[in-house]
Amino acid sequence: MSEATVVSRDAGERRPAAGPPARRSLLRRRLADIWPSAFLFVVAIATWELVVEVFDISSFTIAKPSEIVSEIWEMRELLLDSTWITTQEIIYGFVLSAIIGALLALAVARFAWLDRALYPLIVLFQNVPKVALAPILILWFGYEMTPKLLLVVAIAFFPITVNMRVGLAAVDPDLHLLMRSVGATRGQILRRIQIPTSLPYLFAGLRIAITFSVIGAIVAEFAGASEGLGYIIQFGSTQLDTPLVFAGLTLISILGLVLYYAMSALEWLVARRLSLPSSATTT
Amino acid sequence: MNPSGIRARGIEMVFSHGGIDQVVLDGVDLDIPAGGFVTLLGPSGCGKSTLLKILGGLLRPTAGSVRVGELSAEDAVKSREIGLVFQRPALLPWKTATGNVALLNELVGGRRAKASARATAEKMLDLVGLADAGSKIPEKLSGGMAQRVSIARALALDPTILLMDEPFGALDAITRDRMNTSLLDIWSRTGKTVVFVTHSISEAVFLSDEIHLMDSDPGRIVESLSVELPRPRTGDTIDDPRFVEYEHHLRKRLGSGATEQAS
Ligand SMILES: Nc1ncnc2c1ncn2[C@@H]1O[C@H](COP(=O)(O)OP(=O)(O)OP(=O)(O)O)[C@@H](O)[C@H]1O
Ligand SMILES: [Mg+2]
Repeated sequence: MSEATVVSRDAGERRPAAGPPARRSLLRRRLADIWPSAFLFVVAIATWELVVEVFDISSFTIAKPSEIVSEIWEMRELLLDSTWITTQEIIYGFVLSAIIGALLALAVARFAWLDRALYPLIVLFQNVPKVALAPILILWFGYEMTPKLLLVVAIAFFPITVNMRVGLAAVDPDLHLLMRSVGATRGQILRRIQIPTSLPYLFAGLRIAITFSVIGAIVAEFAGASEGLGYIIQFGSTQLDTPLVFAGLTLISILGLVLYYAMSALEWLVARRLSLPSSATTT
Repeated sequence: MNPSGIRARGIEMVFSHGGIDQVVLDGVDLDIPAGGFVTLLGPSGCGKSTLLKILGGLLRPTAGSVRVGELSAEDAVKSREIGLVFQRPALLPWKTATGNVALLNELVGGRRAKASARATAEKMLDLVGLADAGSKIPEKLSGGMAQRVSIARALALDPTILLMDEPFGALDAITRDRMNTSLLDIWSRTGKTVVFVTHSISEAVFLSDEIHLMDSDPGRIVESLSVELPRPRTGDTIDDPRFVEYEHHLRKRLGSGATEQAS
């Protein structure tokens, strides 16, 4: 028997077929999306440059974009080292957050009693202003990498746990019933149904967490460090070296942007590989 | 495997919501013959889904007993005699149609069963008329096709009993009619016992050997009606004066035809 009527009715809702022509038009659409904000960005930079120039604002107060660029170039060795240090803190901290956050979500999803016991505490902990932990962590662990990683984890694990927990619970109750009807164990249901279902949620959490990781690393460096972009920014401000401060700020912004899009790209790859519904609706 | 019948006695189900007890089923007796096609028909909320889960051993009643063939309902679940089909297909979006149909066999049989599970899956997809759609993911299937996949999945473990909870309730009328004919065809070829839940009077009459009419508050069976229409049933069946009579009778019993609306 044919499904012809049904197929033709649904045909319009299909995703465009993958392939070079479709992808190119997607790219063009992306560019079309981007150019208004790119234009605005250029205008803002130019205005900035002009205003500082015309009103002759001292470079103690604000650095011109052109000054920032030349500062970055002149101090490139120091800034590159600092960027590398901070990148390491962010990535190690983020990976640690992802592991801890996901394991916590799995644990509370697997054991209902643990969920009841632990989850309220996790939410409680979330309400502690984590930034305020930074001085204590420095006090305990010194100027090395450890307190930075700990602060990143403290800030970044939460969105991962929360999102993945929701995803693990988002399984169709009918599917649960189906699995039970063949005597599947809870572990089997977790592995084969719940974890794959939770992946888009997990990635949504990871995208928030990568942003939080940048904040965590910088704040920890503010609180006490001898290297890194956060340290550079603070050092520059005590020396009244405003161009250096702005150079650090610029680099950390670029770093954050790059990491965020790397995360989105990873999500896209995984989603395509597993043909999961992608959560990448907000970019 | 020979089909099993189901025998339920004195089924009572009470749910308590925050201290308040709701009697959802009250004293249900039911005999479902092996290999029969039996329908539970009744208004929304009368406990059809609850009764179906109890018959399949997936929900323990507060009182009463269920036997599936020679087994208790729980043992019937353990020996995988129960196949389930729901209103929505409930397919895994990241698996192909074949992968979805093979899922339960892979789960039950472990890694070594993978090849045979896929072979069975392809046979089942063929049986439901989807031989060519095995490599498609659910997103690429129409509603009717997806529901066929879920029927194939239910058949893949070769259960003796098929429990179907409004399986075609979400489909458009044309697809629904096709699926009904197709289901009867599958049923006659596989010889399963089918327990079918529906809101639709005409669907119930078209498909069933026997219709159990239910009413709510508390949920119970108010009438059991044998449908003496010849098989195989086809497009002509609905023109049979007895078909119209059954429909008319059931509509009167349900009152004002309110339950005929598709849900
Ligand atoms: N797990 C549960 N906990 C508490 N109450 C429940 C539960 N399952 C069902 N009920 C209640 O039992 C009653 C019957 O529900 P059931 O789903 O069996 O009805 P139904 O006849 O299948 O309805 P429909 O035709 O709308 O699917 C409803 O009032 C519902 O609220
Ligand atoms: Mg129901």
